[in-house]
Formats: sequence, structure tokens, C-alpha cells
Amino acid sequence: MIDLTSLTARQDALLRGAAQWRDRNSAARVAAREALRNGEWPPEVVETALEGVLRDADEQLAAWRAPEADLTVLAILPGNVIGPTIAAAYCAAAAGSKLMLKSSSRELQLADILAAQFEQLGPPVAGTLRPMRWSGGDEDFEAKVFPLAQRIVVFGDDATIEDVKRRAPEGSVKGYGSAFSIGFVPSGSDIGAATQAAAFDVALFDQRGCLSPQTIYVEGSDAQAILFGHGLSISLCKLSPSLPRAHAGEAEIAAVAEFIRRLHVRALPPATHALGTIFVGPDKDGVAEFVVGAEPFSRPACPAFGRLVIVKPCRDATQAADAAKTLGPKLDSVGVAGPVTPSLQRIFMKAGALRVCSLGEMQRPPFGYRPQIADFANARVQ
Amino acid sequence: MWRRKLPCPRTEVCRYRAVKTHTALEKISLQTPRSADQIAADLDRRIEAYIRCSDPDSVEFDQLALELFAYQYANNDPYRQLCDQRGHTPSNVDSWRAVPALSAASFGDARIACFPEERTTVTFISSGTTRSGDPSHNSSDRSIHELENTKLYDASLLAHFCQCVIPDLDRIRMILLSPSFDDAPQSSLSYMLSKLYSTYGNGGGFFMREDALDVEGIAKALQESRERTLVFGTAFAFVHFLDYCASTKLRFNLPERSRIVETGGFKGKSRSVARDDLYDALSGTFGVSHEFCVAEYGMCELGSQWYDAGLSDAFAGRHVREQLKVGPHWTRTLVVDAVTAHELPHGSTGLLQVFDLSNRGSVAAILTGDLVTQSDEGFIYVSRSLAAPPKGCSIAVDTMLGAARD
Repeated sequence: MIDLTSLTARQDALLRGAAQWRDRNSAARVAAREALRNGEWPPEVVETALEGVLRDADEQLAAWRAPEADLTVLAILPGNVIGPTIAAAYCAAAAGSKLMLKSSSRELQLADILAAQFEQLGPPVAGTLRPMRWSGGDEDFEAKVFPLAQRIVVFGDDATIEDVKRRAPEGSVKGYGSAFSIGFVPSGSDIGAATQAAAFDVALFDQRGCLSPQTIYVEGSDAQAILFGHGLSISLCKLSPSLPRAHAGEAEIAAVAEFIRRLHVRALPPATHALGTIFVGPDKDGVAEFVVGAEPFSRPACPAFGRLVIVKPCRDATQAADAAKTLGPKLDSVGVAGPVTPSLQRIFMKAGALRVCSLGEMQRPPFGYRPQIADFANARVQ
Repeated sequence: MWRRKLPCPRTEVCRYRAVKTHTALEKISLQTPRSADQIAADLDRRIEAYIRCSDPDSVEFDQLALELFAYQYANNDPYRQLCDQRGHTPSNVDSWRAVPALSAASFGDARIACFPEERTTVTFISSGTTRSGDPSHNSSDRSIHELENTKLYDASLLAHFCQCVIPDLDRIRMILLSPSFDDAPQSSLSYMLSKLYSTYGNGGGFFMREDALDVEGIAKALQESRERTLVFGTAFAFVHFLDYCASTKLRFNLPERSRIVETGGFKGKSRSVARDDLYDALSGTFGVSHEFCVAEYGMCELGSQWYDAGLSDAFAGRHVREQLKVGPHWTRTLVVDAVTAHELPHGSTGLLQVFDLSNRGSVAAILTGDLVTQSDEGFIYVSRSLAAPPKGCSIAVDTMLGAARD
């Protein structure tokens, strides 16, 4: 039985809250901007992420029709991207569950800002969100916290998720772990538009999330892949001022250098039109802003993170999909240049993709994609 | 001071003396045109002689190094591409230091060989220390090192082992915590140990089959040791055996001057033990003194090995240089910056870069993924490189590749 009065009140509050996140001048946005100012991401990246996270949430928030779940859910947040914190809070509230929001040590303030916003939005969402902090992997502390939750939604690497599953009640953990995404550029695509779109997907969060393309397949010859790689490097250069690369640590700088060294062996030979096949961006604080390498066709490469892209020629979408299929359950999104035709949708979904979207939209998943409202509405993993 | 009874059978007078340095290309052009096979055979012969040489000459090393570079540039397509990309080719390289180094991980990216596939006689596949982000080259995403023949490999491993581990003996009882090469035909370690066993072994044997350590067999063999014994195995195998000994309260008292060689570190295994703790446990459990417990450093991508200097120092009556790894005279090492790959000042810590003449059939200049500190006489191992995958949602590359294969 759905209590429509309560549901409507909850939806009203959440729709008002979501609107605030879309308003650059709202108290929540201003507070988040300030809180994240000196954090891991440049302000431009923070702004882009905050702008996008609930941009399309209204429809789903309004459409959710289910009895109030009234669960207590623990969400263990990722440190690599910003969006899931806000998305998790709104999904849990939409489901009518109480949420314990455990922040990553890399970003500790967004949960507090969300809790304050929920207080300001009033009943029935006020008081449903409890920010929590502890050092991840603290088994003694977690042994006390895990039993308080009927459901645990955890983001992180596969080892973290397995570790939580081992210690939580069976069937109570929903994990969002490591995954990889690819791009596909059909022949005849507008290369200028495609490279701009792909550059956005690569640049936002510097590929630290699961939704950035690491390998982009270009339908056609080696030369076409090289030209796309060249275009992508230009687009990444142009995008840099508005979406700067985050500061790279020592390990990341070394990993990028090793990636370039290995490209010297893996890359296609320079093409007859005199273009090189390894495009290295300008130095920023000791690290290349980006690296694009054109390689022969093969399975997708997954070269760490830091705006590192492999471009490979392929015969057609079917061949690219067959290559993507080798990622197995780790394949997440496929971004295609131009419109997502039913044929492309079918080919890549059949290969195991969870989502097929346009290049440029890969980093802007629809609200409820990851996590989903249902994650917070059921005590058992569905 | 202990001395070996007989000289090693490897000593041979060096026949090559260079008088002037040339670029690698000049060296080639000074010679009558020859086929790749002729050049390879000539290099094999001359490098083998250099390995066996008791009085090695550094000018000669440079000459061989440059000729080897020219040969590998001409006959190894992926390596030539790398050299061309970096603008360092036989026409402008005049020292082994300037020869472009290939990342060890690149052995997982392409076929790194100077000869056609059908001439491969032995294929070594790494145990997974070399991280690769690309599953495209081989199904297991591990380094593959093919040998056209094992002449140089054998000469190299036997000579340096003899110098560093058994300078006092011709043969030694060997208890090997590893599968034999018959049981692990793609393991360079198993090949190496099988070769050492057949050449220098005197009883004992291999005590690992199908990834299972025969702990009871090892214990029995140790108890039966009445003469100097060498126990050689991976650190991980030793830890397993030490666990067994601890649980069964077993301790041994191996004959004086017995020795232990540990290799491989922990390579990302779930359990690791600090080096000092491991060596204390080894010394205590086996009854072998600390300076007789040494580490070997090697990898499937290299034909040569490095050993801790401790044992040979002890036998020579020298001050024991702890943890210093010494290489054979047919190799050279550099420490380079992990980002720029430029040579670092003496005493710095950086990536280990090796030039190994015994790698005739692949690439001689190899950039490893290991951080070391260089000294005059060798290097001290520090850790795996920071370029190991950083943490992040999409970064568990090895995990992913494992999952994709399942």
C-alpha cells in the first residue's frame, strides 16, 4: 500500500532539492563549490560534475511509485568521482530509506552538505541522511556499523567490494566495482564533432571513473584511426583550459611515462601523410596533459588513468563489439559518435554493454544509472 | 677463507680487443656484408667467449654492445620502431649507455625477437610481475621471451652462479623449492634451476609439483643432508615451508657452509613478509648463517641474473656487502629517472636499466619496473616501481583482465 501523501511530500522535497543542485547560486551549490575548492579536482571539473549529476533526475524522482522502503542503508562512497555521493543521497531518499553515507577519505564534506540540505528541505527527508566517517577497512568499527544497515551499497575496487561482502550479511551488498568503457566512431562520422565529444568524456575526472572511454575504435583504415587520434589530441588541447587536468601524483606521473614508453612498441608506424601515431599533450606540473596513441586493431587496452587514450582501427561495429566482448562483465558503457542507431545499440548490447550512448554523454549517465533507486528500496540484492 | 678446489671450466682467453669506438652503424659498414644469420652466429660466438673471459675488457664490451644493437635494430621490428620513435638508431648511438631501452613490460605487448617464430626453441612466460594494460598480445597478458637457442643463456647463468653461489665447490647438493623445467616448461626460473642442477647438482632435487610444495619431502631431504647443501626457491615458497616448519616445530641444522638463495620477492601475493624477518626465519629454521642467505634477482626478460654479494664476499674473506646485488661482467646497469628515463646521478634511487649481452635474440637494453639504488659495485633493490597501477575505480587492470579471462 502506497501512502500517497507521504510519497508526494517526499517527491516535492526532492524535486526542490534537485532544482537547487541545478542552480549555480543555490546554497547547496555554493557550499559544495567552496568545500571542494581545494580538493582533488580543479574548480571547473567540480562545477561540471555538480551541474550534471541531477540534471535529469526530476522525471525519475516523480515517477517512483513504491511504498516507503523504510530501510537503513549504508552507502560507502568512491573517492574517484563526485557524482555518486549526491546520486546516492537522492536515490535513498526517493526510496524512502534512511541513509548512512560513508565518505571517502579523499572527499569528506559533500555528505555534510547534503545532510544540511535535507534538513532545510524539511520533512519527510529531513533527518534521513547521516554522514559517517571512518577509515575504510577498519574491521572493528565496521563490525559495529554493518549490522545497523539492512543494505550496503559500496563503490570501489573489486577487492574492497569483496572484502565488504565477506563481512556483511549474505545478499545485503550491492557493489559498483571496476569497469571499463569504450568508444566507437562509425565511418562517415563528423570527425570534428566526434573528437570534441570524446575529449569531454576523456577529460572529465581524467578517466578515474568507469565511464570514460579508454579505447576508441574507429571504423576504417589505420590512416583514419591516426587522423582521429590527431583530432582527439587537438580537441583535448582545446578543452584543457575549461576542464583542466587534476594534479597528478608521483605514481600517476610514472605510470604515464611508462605508458608512453610502451606505446613506442605498440603504436602503429607513422602514416604516409606524415602524422605521428603518438600524440603527447603539453607538460602540466611534470606530466603530459594527455596521451593519445594509435595502435593496430586488437582487444581493448585499459591503460590506467590520466587522459590516456588508445585509438584502434576496426573493420566495422561488429568487429569492435567482438573486441569489447573480451572485457566480459567488466564492460560498462559504449559511446558512439553521432546518433545511437538501433543497429549499433543492438550490436553493443549483445556484446555485454550496460549502456550505449553518444560520445560526449558517457560521463553524463542518466540519474538512477549508478546507483539506482531500487538499490535503496530492497533489503536483498535483486 | 674458503677457496674452490678447481678453477671454473669457463675460463678462456679473450680474443677481441677494440682500439677505437665507432657508432654501431660504422661498425657494420666496416664489415663485409653478411646475412642476419651469419651476424647472429658470429655474435653468439663472440659473446659466449666474452662471458667465459676471465679478463674482460670494457672497450670490448662497448664494441659488442654496439654491434648487438645494430643487429637487433635491423632484425627486431617492434624494437626498431621504438628506436625510430625515440630518434636513437645505430647511426647516432656510440655507447651502450645511449642504446634505447625497451620496457620489460613490452615483452607482453609484441613479439620481441630477432628471428622467425619457427626457430624458437624455448619460450619463457613471466609469472606476472610485469604489469600490462593490454590483453591483446597474449592470452595471459604476461611477458613472453623467446630464445632461438640457449647457448648464451646457459653460459651466462652457469658462470655467474658459479662465481656468486658456489665459488668454493664444483658441485653441491641442491634442494629446489620449484618445479623442474619438465614440470614447468615455460618458467625461466625452472629452466635455470634445472640447468644448474644438471650441471652443478649433487643429490637433492625439485620439491614442487603442480603448484604444490612437497613440504614433507623437503623436510626429509633437509634432515638427510650430510654435506653442504643449497636450498634455492622463491620467497613465497620459503614462506609456505616456514609456516609448515613453525606448525610442526621443525628446525634443521644444515652442514656448515650450506646456503640459501631466495628469489622473486612476493610479486603482489596476498601475504608478504619483510625481508629481514624472512632471512631471520630462514637462518633460524635451516641453521644457515645470515651471510649464507642471499637473494637472486632475475626475470624472464633477461638472460642474466644478479646475486647478493654476501656469499662471494664471505668466501673471499672480504667485508660482506649486505643486500648489494652484483651482476656479471657481460652486463651493465644504469639507474634512470622513472619519468624521463634519463640517467640519474650516482647513488640515486630510480628505475634499473640493464644492458645484457646475453639477450642476443631479443633486446639487450631493458628498462625494468624495479626501483634500485646504484653503487659502484652493483645495486640495492628498493621496491617495485611507482608506476604500478594506482588505486581507482577503473584501475584494477590486472583484476579486470583476470575477470575477463574467467
